[in-house]
Order: sequence, then structure tokens, then C-alpha cells
Amino acid sequence: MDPDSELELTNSLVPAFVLTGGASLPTENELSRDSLVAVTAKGLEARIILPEAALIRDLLSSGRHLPVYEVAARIQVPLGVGRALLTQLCDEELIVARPPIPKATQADRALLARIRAGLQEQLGA
Amino acid sequence: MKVLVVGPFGVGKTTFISSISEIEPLTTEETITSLSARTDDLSATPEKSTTTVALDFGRLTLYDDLVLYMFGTPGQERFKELWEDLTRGALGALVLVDPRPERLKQSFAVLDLVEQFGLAYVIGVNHFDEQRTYPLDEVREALSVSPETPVVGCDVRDRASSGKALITLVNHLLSLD
Ligand SMILES: Nc1nc2c(ncn2[C@@H]2O[C@H](COP(=O)(O)OP(=O)(O)OP(=O)(O)O)[C@@H](O)[C@H]2O)c(=O)[nH]1
Ligand SMILES: [Mg+2]
Repeated sequence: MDPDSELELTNSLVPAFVLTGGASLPTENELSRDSLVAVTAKGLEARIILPEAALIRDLLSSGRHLPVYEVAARIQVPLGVGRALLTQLCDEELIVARPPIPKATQADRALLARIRAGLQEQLGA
Repeated sequence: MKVLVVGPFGVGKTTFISSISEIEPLTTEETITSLSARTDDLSATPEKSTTTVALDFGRLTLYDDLVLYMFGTPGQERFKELWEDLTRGALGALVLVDPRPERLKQSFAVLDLVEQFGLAYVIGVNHFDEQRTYPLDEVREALSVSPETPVVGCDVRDRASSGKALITLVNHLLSLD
């Protein structure tokens, strides 16, 4: 493993915390609130010092994609902070983001029918 | 896939999501900075320019490859930026209303937003008042929603009843194509 990666990660994550509140975050590569994120192989291996970043990695370690919202809620930080952290981790390639779900109007009938069947099965409604 | 559960404060959004979600509903906070401060239910102080909005999140796995995400949020004009993210990719919205006359008008702001964003929606009338029921037609009329928009009663504390409201939404989406 790259001996510098731990240092690099910790350092670059600090500004994200200074920017708490989410009011004035850089918007260029910023993840949207419902981007789905997953951990990368690099992320699984990296030594992570920052507790919040380690929590994120643990959350994603099952391989599941989770929306930015859910990650922020689970590590108990405001959404703006969660977004900033995840954006940072993305820049470090420790996680990857998938764009949010495509536009609703593109939802086709087959998919809707499947959702309906799933709801009926799951909820007994 | 994503659906929104919206409605004014205290209408039962969080309760609805907890009835349906397979995980404890999660709440995140988002700081909203509004350009023009207005007075409304939330801020008693008109000059206040940032607000924290609670966002509820829940999910329900329908099939291995199909997960329904539910987002609960109040709706107000100054939450527009947040709504832009929330509505992107959303299938539609369940608009919860409290049918008691003094509470019903609190739903107008949310309905405005839902329409502005062009979201398909159904109205879920949460039966708060155990003493009397409000005919759905009266609620529809009071809210002046279009005749195509389904208005369904639901008890947000009940899983099956809440599920029915969601299925009504999906049926409505299917009818729109
Ligand atoms: N009697 C009765 N109480 C209800 C019903 N639904 C919700 N409540 C109660 O009403 C209160 C508000 O419900 P919540 O689910 O927290 O409402 P909310 O829309 O999430 O509220 P905010 O997050 O404040 O906007 C809670 O104390 C619920 O227990 C209902 O159908 N009947
Ligand atoms: Mg709530």
C-alpha cells in the first residue's frame, strides 16, 4: 500500500469538515444528494484514519450501493457534510458514485408493473 | 427507484415511512439557505435566512435488483433547491394531507411545489380524527385537485394501508402512460 495515502486522505478531508453546514460547498464535482455510492477495491484496502470516513467504508463494505442520503444519516452527520465527505472520498477514488436514477418519465410500464407486484408481495396490500 | 412522501409539518410523513421501510427510518438534516427570507410556518422570525430541514429516508427491497427508496420532506417554496435533487428521478409523490379543515390549507404550498416540478402524485388523506371521517370528495374539492388525481384515505400507522396508498400511486403512474 502507498504509505502516503493515509496522510493524504486525512489532510484532504479536513476542509470538508470546516465546511460543515453544506451552505457553500464547491459544486463542480459535487455528488448530488441521491447519487449512489459504493466502495472501491482501493477503498477497501486503504488505511483510513478519519472516523467518519472509516464508518463510510464499513457501511459500504457489503458491496451494496447506498444513496448519499442514507450514508449521511447513518454516520449521523448533516447531509451537507456527508456530501462533502463522499465527494472527497470519490476524488480519492476510495468510492465510486453512480449517477442518480434516470428521469421518472422514462420509467416504463414493465418496471412500474414490477414495482406494483413487489409492493403487493412485500406489503400484503 | 424513488418515491417522495411529502406534506406539511406533522402530517405523518415519518410515521408513513416507518410503516413501510425495512430499516428504521433515518433522518438527515439539510441546511437550506434561502435568498429571500419569508415568513411561514417554519420561521417565526422573518429575517432568518437559513433553515434546517429534516429529511426522512427509508427503503424497501422489492426484489434483489429492485429497491424502493422513500424520501420524506416538507414542502415549501424556499426548499426548491433541495426539491430539485429530490424530484430528479422520482417516480412520483404521495402527498399526505390532514383533512381537518384548519389543517387542510397547510397542504397548498406542498401541492404547488409538486405541480411546479411536474411530479405525478396522489393524495393520501391521513385519518387523524378518530371522531369523524372526511369524505374524500370534500377533501378533493377543498384542495381543488384535478379529477384524474387519485385521493385515497390511509392510516399511516398501518403497513397495509400505507402500502395501498403507494400502490395507488403506481397504478396512477401506469394510467398516465
Ligand atoms: N391519531 C393519529 N396520530 C397520528 C397519525 N399519524 C401520525 N400521527 C401522529 O402525529 C404526529 C406527527 O406524525 P409524524 O409522522 O412525525 O409527522 P411528520 O409529517 O413526519 O412531521 P414533521 O417531521 O414534523 O414534518 C406523531 O406524533 C404521530 O404519532 C394518525 O393517523 N392518527
Ligand atoms: Mg417527520
